[in-house]
Amino acid sequence: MEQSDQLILDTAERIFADHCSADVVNAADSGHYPTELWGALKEAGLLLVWVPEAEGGVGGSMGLGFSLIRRAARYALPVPLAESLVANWLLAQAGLASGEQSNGFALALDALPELNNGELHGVVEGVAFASQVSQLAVPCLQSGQLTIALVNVDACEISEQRSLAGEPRSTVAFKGAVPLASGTVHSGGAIELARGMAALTRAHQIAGALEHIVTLTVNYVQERNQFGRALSRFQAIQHSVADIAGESALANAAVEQAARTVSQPDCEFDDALMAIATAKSVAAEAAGKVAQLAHQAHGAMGFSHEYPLQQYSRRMWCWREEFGSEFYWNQWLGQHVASKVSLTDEGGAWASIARAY
Amino acid sequence: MQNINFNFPAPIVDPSVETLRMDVRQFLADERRKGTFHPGADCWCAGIDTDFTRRLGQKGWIGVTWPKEYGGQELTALHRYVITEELLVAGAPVHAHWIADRQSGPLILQSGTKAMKEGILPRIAAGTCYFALGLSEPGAGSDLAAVRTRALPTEGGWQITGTKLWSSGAQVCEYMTVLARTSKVDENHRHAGLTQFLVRLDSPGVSIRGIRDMSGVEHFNETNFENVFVPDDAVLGAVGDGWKQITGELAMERSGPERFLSTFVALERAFSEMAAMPENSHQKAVLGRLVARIRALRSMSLGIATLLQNGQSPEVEAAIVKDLGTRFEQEIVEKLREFWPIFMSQNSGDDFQNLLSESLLRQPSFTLRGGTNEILKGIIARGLGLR
Repeated sequence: MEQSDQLILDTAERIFADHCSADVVNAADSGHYPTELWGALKEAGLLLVWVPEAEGGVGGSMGLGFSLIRRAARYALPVPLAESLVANWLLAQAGLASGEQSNGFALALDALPELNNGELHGVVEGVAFASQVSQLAVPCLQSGQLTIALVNVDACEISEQRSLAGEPRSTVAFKGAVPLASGTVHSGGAIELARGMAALTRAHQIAGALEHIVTLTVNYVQERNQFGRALSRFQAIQHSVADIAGESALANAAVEQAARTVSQPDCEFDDALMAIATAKSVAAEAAGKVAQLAHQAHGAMGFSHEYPLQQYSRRMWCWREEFGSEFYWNQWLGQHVASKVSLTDEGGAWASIARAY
Repeated sequence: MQNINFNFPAPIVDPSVETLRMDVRQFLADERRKGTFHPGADCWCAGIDTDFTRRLGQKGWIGVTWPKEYGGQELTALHRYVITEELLVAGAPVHAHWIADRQSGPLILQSGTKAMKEGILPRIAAGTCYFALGLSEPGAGSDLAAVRTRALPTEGGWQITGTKLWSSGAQVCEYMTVLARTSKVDENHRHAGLTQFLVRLDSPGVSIRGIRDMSGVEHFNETNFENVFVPDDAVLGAVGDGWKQITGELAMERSGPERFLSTFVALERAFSEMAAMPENSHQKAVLGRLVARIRALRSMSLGIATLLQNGQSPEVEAAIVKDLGTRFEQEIVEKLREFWPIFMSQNSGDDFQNLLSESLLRQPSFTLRGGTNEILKGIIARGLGLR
């Protein structure tokens, strides 16, 4: 990792540590949006990591952005840092990169909104933090081509709802909204890749949450005494915590591999989606297993709102569903690998797996 | 609060690695066409074919990381990794040389005498000299420090007496590395006083009895040593270094692709079957999930190979790969059952059915051999600071 990357991550880490305590996260859950945290992130320019330098951004690598996203998730960051990064990446794909700080994105998993005669029509559900940003990057279709429209939030109809974790997830309706700007994305498979980037973002967030749950659980079982000894002295608990660490390590290996793959400038489309599908599948499955095991190890304490475990388990349960659950991506993988296999030519499945490092 | 994060770095891939992969793949396709082997499940344990191993030796694909003066190619750990994974997914009969290539050769390279290196390593690399491991005993399985095989000093060497169990392939092997007690048990330091010896299996006093396993294969052995004389220079490294040597090998032994690819041949065939069937989205999701997990396990495993190449010893990470990987190679079989029931013995159906039944009958051993998963979880827990 480059020295400048490390500096950026250190800056972020300081802001998280100073402004994103467990109390701040719980307060956000109760409706107190952490404006100080959000302001500090903007001031440090962290939302612009994937904006090219020429446009006033950081011009950071894909790897740097995903590292930042994963670290933020270790703090259950209750502000749209990840969403802003993805929004800015989408805008850059359409040649609309800008130094504007407060973007979210509205990406539909099924039918995209349509841009006709300069007016946007359609509905996107589950848009994260739509009311907390000033503009939305909206992937839409214009004459069948993927287009990114930059839309003022005031020009949309937003009905705000909450996710499992108490985070804003809104239904956003575009009823003839006129975008501030729009640009067409010309590369092949652009829609799938946009969804893939969103899925990989959620996978990295899950990976960060998993890492923190390992830490929380290891500490808890060492501190908590029952039957006259620490929980960590019981072999059943040791094995359960080993399972938690294993699933977390597996998910982290998968998301890192995917980040490396999509970072390669000459990365082929199939390779990118294989890596993304793997990352989201493995992370989403780990989310379910680890939440179950960690809550079991924490006993009733982990079920309380005050103790921070729920901040992570509830977020993971939400993130694993967004932009394709493990079931969605597993099916994609099965379909994709089957298309590389024929009855006469053996080894097709392996050949498609062994392409990655 | 202490943060616990594992690190699985990317391997550095130079173009010669992929060239080698294609060469190995081509060789295996040619061998298949010639009918010299039939793909089998768990081929690195159940498939012994010394002719096949010799042909691999002629290609220069055994001991590839070793110095050229000892028959190696001085290639990287990643080159070796690619060879081994291609052999595994092809179901090639590779057991004869597997242990020598993975473990015994590197041990001799590190701790052996010059005579051992010159006399043995080139023959391992040529595919003509095979090794068995003499670790477990009737009374020492997971608790390996409980071994009772003794080596007593005698004129010019040592006399070894005891019984080793579950040594795979000993009937075709020239040598066994034997872990023996060389001093009395110190209850406070149970791992002290253990030494590894290089023992020729045709030495007077050695007797080998084959043990048939539940899948019908007779690759296990019970090996008896009765006052077997070995010269002083049969000691591997220093007297008392046995435990250190064994645990030093573990990261390598536990993190390789054989810890999650033992049943891959069945999955590859399942994909072929599925490709020929009408649309079934549930089946695609089940098989797709298995692909996702293989890819993730492989990323971890390659990350460990990279750490090893950089001189680190990621023992906890290796235990994670083996724990997750061996349970996963069992899970493949259980998942495929949903679409392809398995109830007939091997050699009763078509090739695919045979692979499935072979895989099922061999799978109990996956989570036992080379350290049970309970032992592995203990190592992980210790790495996390819980014990």
